[in-house]
Amino acid sequence: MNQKIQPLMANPPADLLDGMSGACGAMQEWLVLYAAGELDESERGEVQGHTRSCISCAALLEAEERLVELVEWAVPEMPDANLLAICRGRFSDSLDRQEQGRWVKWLKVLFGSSAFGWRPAVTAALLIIVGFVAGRMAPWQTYRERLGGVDDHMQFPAGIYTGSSSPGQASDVAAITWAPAEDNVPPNVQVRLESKEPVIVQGTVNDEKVKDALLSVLQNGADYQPDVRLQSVELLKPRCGDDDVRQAMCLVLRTDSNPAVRLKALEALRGVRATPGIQQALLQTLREDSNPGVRVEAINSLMGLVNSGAPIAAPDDVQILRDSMRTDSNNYVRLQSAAILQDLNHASGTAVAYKPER
Amino acid sequence: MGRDVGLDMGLAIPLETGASKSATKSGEEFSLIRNAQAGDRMAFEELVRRHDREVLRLAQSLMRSPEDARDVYQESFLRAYRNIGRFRFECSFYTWLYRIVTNVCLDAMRRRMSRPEDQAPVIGHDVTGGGDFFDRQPQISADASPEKNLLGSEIGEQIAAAMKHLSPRERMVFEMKHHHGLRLRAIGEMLGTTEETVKNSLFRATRKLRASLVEIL
Repeated sequence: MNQKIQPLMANPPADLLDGMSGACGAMQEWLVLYAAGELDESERGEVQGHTRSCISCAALLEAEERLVELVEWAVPEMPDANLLAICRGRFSDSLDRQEQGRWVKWLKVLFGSSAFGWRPAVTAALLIIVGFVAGRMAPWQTYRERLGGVDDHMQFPAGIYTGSSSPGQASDVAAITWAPAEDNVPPNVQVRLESKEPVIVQGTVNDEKVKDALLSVLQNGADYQPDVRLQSVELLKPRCGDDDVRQAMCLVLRTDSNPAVRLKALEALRGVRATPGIQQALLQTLREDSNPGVRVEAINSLMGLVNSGAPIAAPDDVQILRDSMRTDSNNYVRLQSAAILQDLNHASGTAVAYKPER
Repeated sequence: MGRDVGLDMGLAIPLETGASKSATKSGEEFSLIRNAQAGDRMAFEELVRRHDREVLRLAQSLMRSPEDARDVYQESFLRAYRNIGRFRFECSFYTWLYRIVTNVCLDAMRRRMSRPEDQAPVIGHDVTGGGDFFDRQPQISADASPEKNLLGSEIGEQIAAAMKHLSPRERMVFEMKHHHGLRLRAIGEMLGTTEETVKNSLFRATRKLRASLVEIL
Protein backbone atom coordinates (compact mmCIF):
# COMPACT_ATOMS: atom_id res chain seq x y z
CA MET A 1 0.00 0.00 0.00
CA ASN A 2 1.44 3.29 -1.03
CA GLN A 3 1.78 5.86 1.74
CA LYS A 4 0.03 8.53 -0.35
CA ILE A 5 -3.33 6.87 0.16
CA GLN A 6 -4.91 8.89 2.94
CA PRO A 7 -8.55 9.52 3.80
CA LEU A 8 -9.81 12.29 1.54
CA MET A 9 -12.41 13.50 4.00
CA ALA A 10 -11.27 14.97 7.29
CA ASN A 11 -13.80 12.92 9.26
CA PRO A 12 -15.19 10.16 7.08
CA PRO A 13 -18.39 8.75 8.59
CA ALA A 14 -17.61 5.33 10.06
CA ASP A 15 -20.61 3.74 8.35
CA LEU A 16 -19.10 4.51 4.98
CA LEU A 17 -16.00 2.43 5.52
CA ASP A 18 -17.62 -1.00 5.22
CA GLY A 19 -15.90 -2.07 8.41
CA MET A 20 -12.52 -1.61 6.82
CA SER A 21 -9.77 0.29 8.51
CA GLY A 22 -6.34 1.61 7.65
CA ALA A 23 -5.31 1.85 4.00
CA CYS A 24 -8.25 -0.14 2.66
CA GLY A 25 -10.66 1.99 4.69
CA ALA A 26 -9.21 5.16 3.14
CA MET A 27 -9.27 3.49 -0.26
CA GLN A 28 -13.09 3.25 -0.10
CA GLU A 29 -13.41 6.97 -0.81
CA TRP A 30 -10.72 6.88 -3.48
CA LEU A 31 -12.51 4.10 -5.34
CA VAL A 32 -15.77 6.05 -5.53
CA LEU A 33 -13.93 9.12 -6.80
CA TYR A 34 -11.88 6.99 -9.22
CA ALA A 35 -15.04 5.57 -10.78
CA ALA A 36 -16.57 9.05 -10.88
CA GLY A 37 -13.57 10.41 -12.78
CA GLU A 38 -12.69 12.87 -10.02
CA LEU A 39 -9.04 11.88 -9.47
CA ASP A 40 -6.05 13.32 -11.28
CA GLU A 41 -3.49 11.18 -13.08
CA SER A 42 -1.15 10.61 -10.13
CA GLU A 43 -4.04 9.73 -7.82
CA ARG A 44 -5.39 7.28 -10.38
CA GLY A 45 -1.96 5.70 -10.47
CA GLU A 46 -2.07 5.30 -6.70
CA VAL A 47 -5.42 3.56 -6.87
CA GLN A 48 -4.31 1.28 -9.69
CA GLY A 49 -1.17 0.39 -7.73
CA HIS A 50 -3.17 -0.49 -4.64
CA THR A 51 -5.83 -2.54 -6.44
CA ARG A 52 -3.14 -4.60 -8.17
CA SER A 53 -2.06 -5.90 -4.79
CA CYS A 54 -5.37 -5.91 -2.88
CA ILE A 55 -8.03 -8.32 -4.04
CA SER A 56 -10.88 -6.90 -1.95
CA CYS A 57 -10.26 -3.33 -3.14
CA ALA A 58 -9.94 -4.57 -6.73
CA ALA A 59 -13.35 -6.24 -6.39
CA LEU A 60 -14.83 -3.07 -4.91
CA LEU A 61 -13.41 -1.00 -7.74
CA GLU A 62 -14.93 -3.37 -10.24
CA ALA A 63 -18.30 -3.00 -8.51
CA GLU A 64 -17.98 0.80 -8.53
CA GLU A 65 -17.17 0.87 -12.21
CA ARG A 66 -19.98 -1.53 -12.99
CA LEU A 67 -22.39 0.71 -11.05
CA VAL A 68 -21.37 3.76 -13.07
CA GLU A 69 -21.77 1.74 -16.25
CA LEU A 70 -25.25 0.58 -15.23
CA VAL A 71 -26.33 4.07 -14.28
CA GLU A 72 -25.71 5.09 -17.87
CA TRP A 73 -28.80 3.06 -18.81
CA ALA A 74 -30.86 5.64 -16.97
CA VAL A 75 -29.27 8.85 -18.32
CA PRO A 76 -32.12 11.25 -19.09
CA GLU A 77 -32.65 12.44 -22.64
CA MET A 78 -33.03 16.08 -23.61
CA PRO A 79 -36.57 17.29 -22.97
CA ASP A 80 -38.85 17.19 -25.98
CA ALA A 81 -39.59 20.33 -27.93
CA ASN A 82 -43.28 20.35 -27.03
CA LEU A 83 -42.61 20.34 -23.29
CA LEU A 84 -40.03 23.08 -23.73
CA ALA A 85 -42.48 25.15 -25.76
CA ILE A 86 -45.16 24.75 -23.08
CA CYS A 87 -42.70 25.80 -20.37
CA ARG A 88 -41.58 28.84 -22.31
CA GLY A 89 -45.14 29.87 -23.00
CA ARG A 90 -46.19 29.51 -19.37
CA PHE A 91 -43.15 31.37 -18.14
CA SER A 92 -43.74 34.20 -20.54
CA ASP A 93 -47.34 34.51 -19.35
CA SER A 94 -46.08 34.65 -15.77
CA LEU A 95 -43.72 37.47 -16.66
CA ASP A 96 -46.63 39.34 -18.20
CA ARG A 97 -48.59 38.92 -14.99
CA GLN A 98 -45.60 40.04 -12.92
CA GLU A 99 -45.24 43.19 -14.96
CA GLN A 100 -48.94 43.96 -14.68
CA GLY A 101 -48.60 43.44 -10.94
CA ARG A 102 -45.83 45.99 -10.81
CA TRP A 103 -48.01 48.68 -12.37
CA VAL A 104 -50.74 48.08 -9.84
CA LYS A 105 -48.17 48.23 -7.04
CA TRP A 106 -46.86 51.56 -8.28
CA LEU A 107 -50.33 52.96 -8.64
CA LYS A 108 -51.11 51.87 -5.09
CA VAL A 109 -47.99 53.63 -3.90
CA LEU A 110 -48.97 56.78 -5.76
CA PHE A 111 -52.63 56.90 -4.91
CA GLY A 112 -52.95 54.72 -1.82
CA SER A 113 -54.49 51.29 -1.74
CA SER A 114 -57.78 52.54 -0.33
CA ALA A 115 -58.46 54.45 -3.54
CA PHE A 116 -58.71 51.16 -5.40
CA GLY A 117 -61.13 49.69 -2.96
CA TRP A 118 -63.49 52.65 -2.79
CA ARG A 119 -63.34 54.04 -6.30
CA PRO A 120 -63.19 51.16 -8.77
CA ALA A 121 -64.49 53.28 -11.64
CA VAL A 122 -61.72 55.83 -11.14
CA THR A 123 -59.14 53.06 -10.92
CA ALA A 124 -60.34 51.40 -14.11
CA ALA A 125 -60.33 54.71 -15.98
CA LEU A 126 -56.84 55.46 -14.70
CA LEU A 127 -55.52 52.09 -15.81
CA ILE A 128 -57.03 52.52 -19.27
CA ILE A 129 -55.45 55.96 -19.62
CA VAL A 130 -52.07 54.73 -18.43
CA GLY A 131 -52.26 51.76 -20.80
CA PHE A 132 -53.27 53.94 -23.73
CA VAL A 133 -50.53 56.50 -23.13
CA ALA A 134 -47.90 53.78 -22.68
CA GLY A 135 -49.05 52.00 -25.80
CA ARG A 136 -48.97 55.12 -27.95
CA MET A 137 -45.91 56.87 -26.61
CA ALA A 138 -43.44 54.23 -25.53
CA PRO A 139 -40.95 53.15 -28.22
CA TRP A 140 -41.67 49.49 -27.68
CA GLN A 141 -41.34 46.86 -30.32
CA THR A 142 -43.83 44.07 -30.57
CA TYR A 143 -42.56 40.60 -30.15
CA ARG A 144 -43.26 39.83 -33.78
CA GLU A 145 -41.20 42.81 -34.90
CA ARG A 146 -38.32 41.67 -32.73
CA LEU A 147 -38.46 38.27 -34.36
CA GLY A 148 -37.74 39.77 -37.70
CA GLY A 149 -40.53 42.03 -38.69
CA VAL A 150 -44.03 41.46 -39.99
CA ASP A 151 -44.21 41.55 -43.73
CA ASP A 152 -47.68 42.79 -44.60
CA HIS A 153 -47.07 42.21 -48.26
CA MET A 154 -46.75 38.46 -48.09
CA GLN A 155 -49.44 36.47 -49.81
CA PHE A 156 -50.74 34.83 -46.67
CA PRO A 157 -54.06 35.20 -44.94
CA ALA A 158 -54.37 38.40 -42.93
CA GLY A 159 -53.24 38.23 -39.35
CA ILE A 160 -50.82 35.39 -39.83
CA TYR A 161 -47.21 36.08 -39.11
CA THR A 162 -44.89 35.05 -41.85
CA GLY A 163 -41.62 35.45 -40.01
CA SER A 164 -38.24 36.62 -41.16
CA SER A 165 -36.37 35.22 -44.11
CA SER A 166 -35.47 32.20 -42.06
CA PRO A 167 -38.08 31.40 -39.43
CA GLY A 168 -36.16 28.37 -38.29
CA GLN A 169 -33.37 30.59 -37.10
CA ALA A 170 -35.68 32.96 -35.27
CA SER A 171 -37.43 30.31 -33.25
CA ASP A 172 -37.97 26.57 -33.26
CA VAL A 173 -40.79 24.66 -34.88
CA ALA A 174 -43.30 23.40 -32.33
CA ALA A 175 -45.87 21.71 -34.58
CA ILE A 176 -46.81 21.23 -38.19
CA THR A 177 -50.35 20.83 -39.46
CA TRP A 178 -51.47 20.41 -43.03
CA ALA A 179 -54.45 19.23 -45.01
CA PRO A 180 -54.17 16.98 -48.08
CA ALA A 181 -55.00 18.80 -51.30
CA GLU A 182 -56.18 17.80 -54.76
CA ASP A 183 -53.82 15.92 -57.07
CA ASN A 184 -50.83 17.94 -58.23
CA VAL A 185 -51.66 20.77 -55.85
CA PRO A 186 -49.30 21.20 -52.91
CA PRO A 187 -51.08 20.98 -49.56
CA ASN A 188 -51.55 24.06 -47.43
CA VAL A 189 -49.15 23.84 -44.50
CA GLN A 190 -49.21 25.56 -41.12
CA VAL A 191 -45.97 25.61 -39.13
CA ARG A 192 -46.31 26.79 -35.53
CA LEU A 193 -43.13 28.30 -34.16
CA GLU A 194 -42.10 27.82 -30.58
CA SER A 195 -42.46 31.20 -28.92
CA LYS A 196 -44.27 33.00 -26.17
CA GLU A 197 -47.23 33.86 -28.38
CA PRO A 198 -48.66 31.84 -31.25
CA VAL A 199 -46.53 32.47 -34.31
CA ILE A 200 -47.53 30.67 -37.46
CA VAL A 201 -45.97 30.33 -40.86
CA GLN A 202 -48.59 29.32 -43.38
CA GLY A 203 -48.64 28.54 -47.07
CA THR A 204 -47.66 25.77 -49.43
CA VAL A 205 -44.18 24.29 -49.66
CA ASN A 206 -43.67 26.44 -52.72
CA ASP A 207 -43.44 29.40 -50.33
CA GLU A 208 -39.84 29.93 -49.35
CA LYS A 209 -40.66 30.69 -45.71
CA VAL A 210 -42.59 27.47 -45.29
CA LYS A 211 -39.78 25.59 -46.99
CA ASP A 212 -37.19 27.23 -44.71
CA ALA A 213 -39.17 26.34 -41.59
CA LEU A 214 -39.44 22.72 -42.67
CA LEU A 215 -35.79 22.61 -43.69
CA SER A 216 -34.75 23.82 -40.26
CA VAL A 217 -36.49 20.77 -38.81
CA LEU A 218 -34.50 18.44 -41.04
CA GLN A 219 -31.24 20.23 -40.37
CA ASN A 220 -31.72 20.18 -36.58
CA GLY A 221 -33.43 16.82 -36.33
CA ALA A 222 -32.29 16.03 -32.79
CA ASP A 223 -34.36 18.93 -31.47
CA TYR A 224 -37.67 17.64 -32.81
CA GLN A 225 -40.03 14.77 -32.29
CA PRO A 226 -40.08 12.05 -34.97
CA ASP A 227 -43.61 12.92 -36.08
CA VAL A 228 -42.56 16.52 -36.80
CA ARG A 229 -39.52 15.26 -38.72
CA LEU A 230 -41.60 12.75 -40.64
CA GLN A 231 -44.10 15.39 -41.71
CA SER A 232 -41.32 17.76 -42.74
CA VAL A 233 -39.79 15.10 -44.99
CA GLU A 234 -43.17 14.25 -46.47
CA LEU A 235 -44.04 17.87 -47.16
CA LEU A 236 -40.66 18.71 -48.68
CA LYS A 237 -40.75 15.74 -51.04
CA PRO A 238 -42.03 17.78 -54.01
CA ARG A 239 -39.08 20.15 -53.59
CA CYS A 240 -36.34 17.53 -53.71
CA GLY A 241 -35.21 19.08 -56.96
CA ASP A 242 -33.77 21.98 -54.92
CA ASP A 243 -30.16 21.50 -53.87
CA ASP A 244 -30.74 22.48 -50.24
CA VAL A 245 -33.71 20.14 -49.85
CA ARG A 246 -31.82 17.29 -51.48
CA GLN A 247 -28.87 17.83 -49.17
CA ALA A 248 -31.16 17.93 -46.15
CA MET A 249 -32.79 14.66 -47.23
CA CYS A 250 -29.35 13.04 -47.53
CA LEU A 251 -28.52 14.33 -44.05
CA VAL A 252 -31.71 12.82 -42.67
CA LEU A 253 -30.94 9.53 -44.38
CA ARG A 254 -27.49 9.41 -42.84
CA THR A 255 -28.21 10.71 -39.37
CA ASP A 256 -31.86 10.52 -38.29
CA SER A 257 -32.35 8.20 -35.34
CA ASN A 258 -35.79 7.01 -36.42
CA PRO A 259 -36.00 4.34 -39.17
CA ALA A 260 -39.42 5.55 -40.31
CA VAL A 261 -38.01 9.02 -40.96
CA ARG A 262 -35.02 7.57 -42.81
CA LEU A 263 -37.36 5.45 -44.95
CA LYS A 264 -39.43 8.51 -45.75
CA ALA A 265 -36.27 10.37 -46.81
CA LEU A 266 -35.35 7.46 -49.07
CA GLU A 267 -38.79 7.60 -50.60
CA ALA A 268 -38.41 11.34 -51.17
CA LEU A 269 -35.08 10.88 -52.91
CA ARG A 270 -36.40 8.20 -55.25
CA GLY A 271 -36.78 9.50 -58.78
CA VAL A 272 -34.68 12.59 -58.08
CA ARG A 273 -31.88 13.28 -60.57
CA ALA A 274 -28.85 11.25 -59.51
CA THR A 275 -26.09 13.22 -57.84
CA PRO A 276 -22.85 12.10 -56.19
CA GLY A 277 -24.28 13.25 -52.86
CA ILE A 278 -27.31 10.98 -53.11
CA GLN A 279 -25.16 8.07 -54.24
CA GLN A 280 -22.83 8.52 -51.27
CA ALA A 281 -25.72 8.80 -48.83
CA LEU A 282 -27.22 5.58 -50.19
CA LEU A 283 -23.93 3.73 -50.00
CA GLN A 284 -23.33 4.94 -46.47
CA THR A 285 -26.83 3.78 -45.53
CA LEU A 286 -26.15 0.40 -47.07
CA ARG A 287 -22.94 0.09 -45.09
CA GLU A 288 -23.97 1.54 -41.74
CA ASP A 289 -27.73 1.53 -41.21
CA SER A 290 -28.73 -0.91 -38.51
CA ASN A 291 -32.26 -1.33 -39.83
CA PRO A 292 -32.61 -4.01 -42.53
CA GLY A 293 -35.77 -2.38 -43.92
CA VAL A 294 -33.87 0.85 -44.56
CA ARG A 295 -31.00 -1.07 -46.16
CA VAL A 296 -33.43 -2.88 -48.45
CA GLU A 297 -34.83 0.43 -49.67
CA ALA A 298 -31.31 1.86 -50.01
CA ILE A 299 -30.18 -1.01 -52.22
CA ASN A 300 -33.34 -0.67 -54.32
CA SER A 301 -32.60 3.02 -54.80
CA LEU A 302 -29.00 2.25 -55.70
CA MET A 303 -30.23 -0.24 -58.26
CA GLY A 304 -32.47 2.49 -59.67
CA LEU A 305 -29.54 4.90 -59.90
CA VAL A 306 -27.35 2.36 -61.68
CA ASN A 307 -30.15 1.51 -64.12
CA SER A 308 -30.68 5.17 -64.86
CA GLY A 309 -27.08 5.42 -65.99
CA ALA A 310 -25.27 6.58 -62.85
CA PRO A 311 -22.47 4.03 -62.55
CA ILE A 312 -20.69 3.21 -59.33
CA ALA A 313 -17.04 3.33 -60.26
CA ALA A 314 -14.92 4.41 -57.32
CA PRO A 315 -13.10 1.41 -55.79
CA ASP A 316 -14.26 2.30 -52.26
CA ASP A 317 -17.86 2.41 -53.40
CA VAL A 318 -17.60 -0.91 -55.20
CA GLN A 319 -16.05 -2.34 -52.07
CA ILE A 320 -19.12 -1.30 -50.05
CA LEU A 321 -21.26 -3.31 -52.46
CA ARG A 322 -18.90 -6.27 -52.20
CA ASP A 323 -19.01 -6.13 -48.41
CA SER A 324 -22.75 -5.88 -48.48
CA MET A 325 -22.96 -8.86 -50.84
CA ARG A 326 -20.82 -10.94 -48.52
CA THR A 327 -21.81 -9.91 -45.05
CA ASP A 328 -25.20 -8.18 -44.88
CA SER A 329 -27.55 -10.01 -42.54
CA ASN A 330 -30.43 -9.59 -44.98
CA ASN A 331 -30.66 -12.05 -47.86
CA TYR A 332 -32.41 -9.61 -50.21
CA VAL A 333 -29.74 -6.97 -49.65
CA ARG A 334 -27.02 -9.52 -50.40
CA LEU A 335 -28.76 -10.63 -53.60
CA GLN A 336 -29.38 -7.09 -54.82
CA SER A 337 -25.80 -6.06 -54.06
CA ALA A 338 -24.59 -8.97 -56.13
CA ALA A 339 -26.97 -8.03 -58.93
CA ILE A 340 -25.68 -4.46 -59.00
CA LEU A 341 -22.10 -5.70 -59.05
CA GLN A 342 -22.93 -7.99 -61.97
CA ASP A 343 -24.54 -5.09 -63.84
CA LEU A 344 -21.50 -2.95 -63.21
CA ASN A 345 -19.19 -5.69 -64.41
CA HIS A 346 -21.28 -6.33 -67.52
CA ALA A 347 -21.17 -2.66 -68.26
CA SER A 348 -17.39 -2.63 -67.92
CA GLY A 349 -17.03 -5.87 -69.89
CA THR A 350 -15.84 -7.99 -66.98
CA ALA A 351 -17.67 -11.10 -65.91
CA VAL A 352 -18.33 -11.68 -62.24
CA ALA A 353 -19.51 -14.75 -60.47
CA TYR A 354 -22.23 -14.16 -57.88
CA LYS A 355 -21.25 -15.86 -54.70
CA PRO A 356 -22.96 -14.43 -51.64
CA GLU A 357 -21.45 -16.09 -48.64
CA ARG A 358 -24.61 -16.53 -46.64
CA MET B 1 -42.59 27.57 -3.66
CA GLY B 2 -41.06 27.01 -0.27
CA ARG B 3 -38.05 28.80 0.98
CA ASP B 4 -36.73 31.92 -0.71
CA VAL B 5 -33.29 31.44 -2.16
CA GLY B 6 -32.86 35.14 -2.75
CA LEU B 7 -30.81 35.71 0.36
CA ASP B 8 -28.02 33.30 -0.45
CA MET B 9 -27.65 34.25 -4.07
CA GLY B 10 -24.58 35.98 -5.33
CA LEU B 11 -22.38 34.73 -2.51
CA ALA B 12 -18.67 34.92 -3.19
CA ILE B 13 -17.63 31.71 -4.90
CA PRO B 14 -14.02 32.04 -5.96
CA LEU B 15 -13.71 28.82 -7.93
CA GLU B 16 -15.43 28.15 -11.22
CA THR B 17 -15.22 25.54 -13.90
CA GLY B 18 -13.35 26.67 -17.00
CA ALA B 19 -16.37 26.38 -19.27
CA SER B 20 -18.72 28.28 -17.02
CA LYS B 21 -16.10 30.96 -16.36
CA SER B 22 -15.58 31.60 -20.02
CA ALA B 23 -19.32 31.63 -20.57
CA THR B 24 -19.89 34.20 -17.85
CA LYS B 25 -17.08 36.37 -19.05
CA SER B 26 -18.21 36.25 -22.63
CA GLY B 27 -19.17 39.78 -23.48
CA GLU B 28 -22.52 38.77 -24.86
CA GLU B 29 -23.79 37.03 -21.75
CA PHE B 30 -22.33 39.73 -19.54
CA SER B 31 -24.26 42.42 -21.35
CA LEU B 32 -27.42 40.32 -21.38
CA ILE B 33 -27.20 39.98 -17.61
CA ARG B 34 -26.50 43.69 -17.19
CA ASN B 35 -29.47 44.58 -19.39
CA ALA B 36 -31.70 42.12 -17.54
CA GLN B 37 -30.64 43.70 -14.26
CA ALA B 38 -31.61 47.07 -15.70
CA GLY B 39 -35.11 45.70 -16.34
CA ASP B 40 -34.78 44.60 -19.97
CA ARG B 41 -37.20 41.71 -20.19
CA MET B 42 -36.03 40.66 -23.65
CA ALA B 43 -32.48 40.27 -22.33
CA PHE B 44 -33.74 38.07 -19.52
CA GLU B 45 -35.77 35.96 -21.92
CA GLU B 46 -32.69 35.50 -24.08
CA LEU B 47 -30.81 34.26 -21.00
CA VAL B 48 -33.67 31.87 -20.34
CA ARG B 49 -33.52 30.49 -23.87
CA ARG B 50 -29.79 29.92 -23.55
CA HIS B 51 -30.11 27.81 -20.45
CA ASP B 52 -33.62 26.44 -20.27
CA ARG B 53 -33.07 23.17 -22.13
CA GLU B 54 -30.47 22.08 -19.60
CA VAL B 55 -32.56 23.37 -16.72
CA LEU B 56 -35.57 21.39 -17.91
CA ARG B 57 -33.44 18.31 -18.45
CA LEU B 58 -32.10 18.53 -14.90
CA ALA B 59 -35.57 19.14 -13.49
CA GLN B 60 -37.01 16.26 -15.48
CA SER B 61 -34.33 13.84 -14.38
CA LEU B 62 -34.64 14.83 -10.73
CA MET B 63 -38.41 15.05 -10.55
CA ARG B 64 -39.13 12.11 -12.88
CA SER B 65 -42.36 13.66 -14.07
CA PRO B 66 -42.95 16.18 -16.87
CA GLU B 67 -45.59 18.02 -14.81
CA ASP B 68 -43.24 18.49 -11.86
CA ALA B 69 -40.39 19.44 -14.19
CA ARG B 70 -42.62 22.09 -15.71
CA ASP B 71 -43.39 23.51 -12.27
CA VAL B 72 -39.70 23.53 -11.36
CA TYR B 73 -38.87 25.32 -14.62
CA GLN B 74 -41.52 27.95 -13.93
CA GLU B 75 -40.61 28.53 -10.31
CA SER B 76 -36.87 28.57 -10.96
CA PHE B 77 -36.94 31.14 -13.71
CA LEU B 78 -39.41 33.30 -11.80
CA ARG B 79 -37.06 33.31 -8.81
CA ALA B 80 -34.17 34.13 -11.12
CA TYR B 81 -36.17 36.98 -12.66
CA ARG B 82 -37.08 38.43 -9.29
CA ASN B 83 -33.53 38.17 -8.00
CA ILE B 84 -31.36 38.89 -11.03
CA GLY B 85 -30.58 42.30 -9.50
CA ARG B 86 -28.71 40.49 -6.73
CA PHE B 87 -26.44 38.58 -9.09
CA ARG B 88 -22.98 40.06 -8.64
CA PHE B 89 -20.87 38.14 -11.17
CA GLU B 90 -19.02 36.35 -8.39
CA CYS B 91 -19.86 33.02 -9.96
CA SER B 92 -21.05 32.07 -13.42
CA PHE B 93 -24.66 32.78 -14.30
CA TYR B 94 -25.02 29.06 -15.00
CA THR B 95 -23.89 28.18 -11.48
CA TRP B 96 -26.17 30.79 -9.96
CA LEU B 97 -29.13 29.56 -11.99
CA TYR B 98 -28.46 25.91 -11.17
CA ARG B 99 -28.34 26.82 -7.49
CA ILE B 100 -31.86 28.17 -7.77
CA VAL B 101 -33.03 25.11 -9.73
CA THR B 102 -31.54 22.65 -7.26
CA ASN B 103 -33.13 24.54 -4.34
CA VAL B 104 -36.51 24.44 -6.02
CA CYS B 105 -36.06 20.73 -6.81
CA LEU B 106 -35.01 19.93 -3.26
CA ASP B 107 -38.06 21.71 -1.88
CA ALA B 108 -40.32 19.83 -4.26
CA MET B 109 -38.67 16.47 -3.57
CA ARG B 110 -38.96 16.95 0.17
CA ARG B 111 -42.60 17.89 -0.16
CA ARG B 112 -43.19 14.84 -2.32
CA MET B 113 -41.46 12.56 0.19
CA SER B 114 -43.72 13.86 2.93
CA ARG B 115 -46.73 13.02 0.73
CA PRO B 116 -46.09 9.56 -0.75
CA GLU B 117 -49.45 9.63 -2.54
CA ASP B 118 -47.99 12.31 -4.80
CA GLN B 119 -45.19 10.07 -6.09
CA ALA B 120 -44.90 10.63 -9.80
CA PRO B 121 -44.59 7.77 -12.25
CA VAL B 122 -41.04 7.20 -13.43
CA ILE B 123 -40.22 8.64 -16.82
CA GLY B 124 -39.06 6.14 -19.37
CA HIS B 125 -40.47 3.10 -17.62
CA ASP B 126 -44.12 3.71 -18.19
CA VAL B 127 -45.68 0.47 -19.32
CA THR B 128 -48.26 2.37 -21.36
CA GLY B 129 -45.38 3.78 -23.40
CA GLY B 130 -44.43 7.41 -23.93
CA GLY B 131 -43.45 9.23 -27.10
CA ASP B 132 -45.11 8.78 -30.41
CA PHE B 133 -45.96 5.69 -32.40
CA PHE B 134 -42.56 5.42 -34.05
CA ASP B 135 -40.66 5.79 -30.80
CA ARG B 136 -42.61 2.90 -29.35
CA GLN B 137 -41.73 0.59 -32.19
CA PRO B 138 -38.92 -1.81 -31.40
CA GLN B 139 -35.73 -1.13 -33.32
CA ILE B 140 -35.20 -4.04 -35.68
CA SER B 141 -31.52 -4.27 -36.34
CA ALA B 142 -28.91 -6.90 -36.88
CA ASP B 143 -27.38 -6.32 -33.45
CA ALA B 144 -30.59 -5.76 -31.47
CA SER B 145 -32.54 -8.53 -29.87
CA PRO B 146 -35.69 -8.72 -27.75
CA GLU B 147 -33.61 -10.12 -24.92
CA LYS B 148 -31.31 -7.11 -25.03
CA ASN B 149 -34.20 -4.62 -25.08
CA LEU B 150 -35.86 -6.41 -22.19
CA LEU B 151 -32.60 -6.42 -20.27
CA GLY B 152 -32.19 -2.68 -20.79
CA SER B 153 -35.66 -1.90 -19.54
CA GLU B 154 -35.29 -4.21 -16.54
CA ILE B 155 -32.00 -2.61 -15.58
CA GLY B 156 -33.53 0.85 -15.96
CA GLU B 157 -36.39 -0.15 -13.69
CA GLN B 158 -34.05 -1.55 -11.06
CA ILE B 159 -31.93 1.58 -11.09
CA ALA B 160 -35.01 3.79 -10.79
CA ALA B 161 -36.23 1.69 -7.87
CA ALA B 162 -32.82 1.86 -6.17
CA MET B 163 -32.74 5.66 -6.59
CA LYS B 164 -35.87 5.90 -4.46
CA HIS B 165 -33.87 4.78 -1.43
CA LEU B 166 -31.64 7.86 -1.66
CA SER B 167 -32.34 11.06 0.22
CA PRO B 168 -33.16 14.07 -1.97
CA ARG B 169 -29.67 15.50 -1.54
CA GLU B 170 -27.94 12.19 -2.20
CA ARG B 171 -29.97 11.64 -5.34
CA MET B 172 -29.32 15.14 -6.53
CA VAL B 173 -25.56 14.84 -6.06
CA PHE B 174 -25.45 11.40 -7.67
CA GLU B 175 -27.53 12.44 -10.69
CA MET B 176 -25.70 15.74 -11.19
CA LYS B 177 -22.44 13.79 -11.15
CA HIS B 178 -23.33 10.74 -13.23
CA HIS B 179 -26.19 11.95 -15.43
CA HIS B 180 -25.13 15.53 -16.03
CA GLY B 181 -21.36 15.10 -15.83
CA LEU B 182 -20.77 17.96 -13.37
CA ARG B 183 -17.63 18.11 -11.24
CA LEU B 184 -18.10 17.67 -7.50
CA ARG B 185 -16.70 21.13 -6.88
CA ALA B 186 -19.26 22.67 -9.25
CA ILE B 187 -22.04 20.67 -7.60
CA GLY B 188 -20.91 22.03 -4.23
CA GLU B 189 -21.11 25.57 -5.59
CA MET B 190 -24.56 24.96 -7.00
CA LEU B 191 -25.87 23.42 -3.82
CA GLY B 192 -24.26 26.15 -1.74
CA THR B 193 -22.22 23.68 0.25
CA THR B 194 -18.66 22.39 0.53
CA GLU B 195 -17.00 19.86 -1.74
CA GLU B 196 -16.50 17.70 1.35
CA THR B 197 -20.23 17.53 1.99
CA VAL B 198 -20.88 16.70 -1.65
CA LYS B 199 -18.33 13.87 -1.52
CA ASN B 200 -20.03 12.59 1.59
CA SER B 201 -23.41 12.55 -0.18
CA LEU B 202 -21.88 10.81 -3.20
CA PHE B 203 -20.34 8.09 -0.99
CA ARG B 204 -23.61 7.50 0.80
CA ALA B 205 -25.54 7.39 -2.47
CA THR B 206 -23.05 5.00 -4.02
CA ARG B 207 -23.11 2.73 -1.00
CA LYS B 208 -26.91 2.58 -0.94
CA LEU B 209 -27.10 1.91 -4.66
CA ARG B 210 -24.48 -0.82 -4.45
CA ALA B 211 -26.52 -2.47 -1.73
CA SER B 212 -29.77 -2.18 -3.67
CA LEU B 213 -28.29 -3.36 -6.96
CA VAL B 214 -26.11 -6.10 -5.53
CA GLU B 215 -27.76 -8.73 -7.74
CA ILE B 216 -26.75 -7.09 -10.99
CA LEU B 217 -23.37 -5.66 -9.97
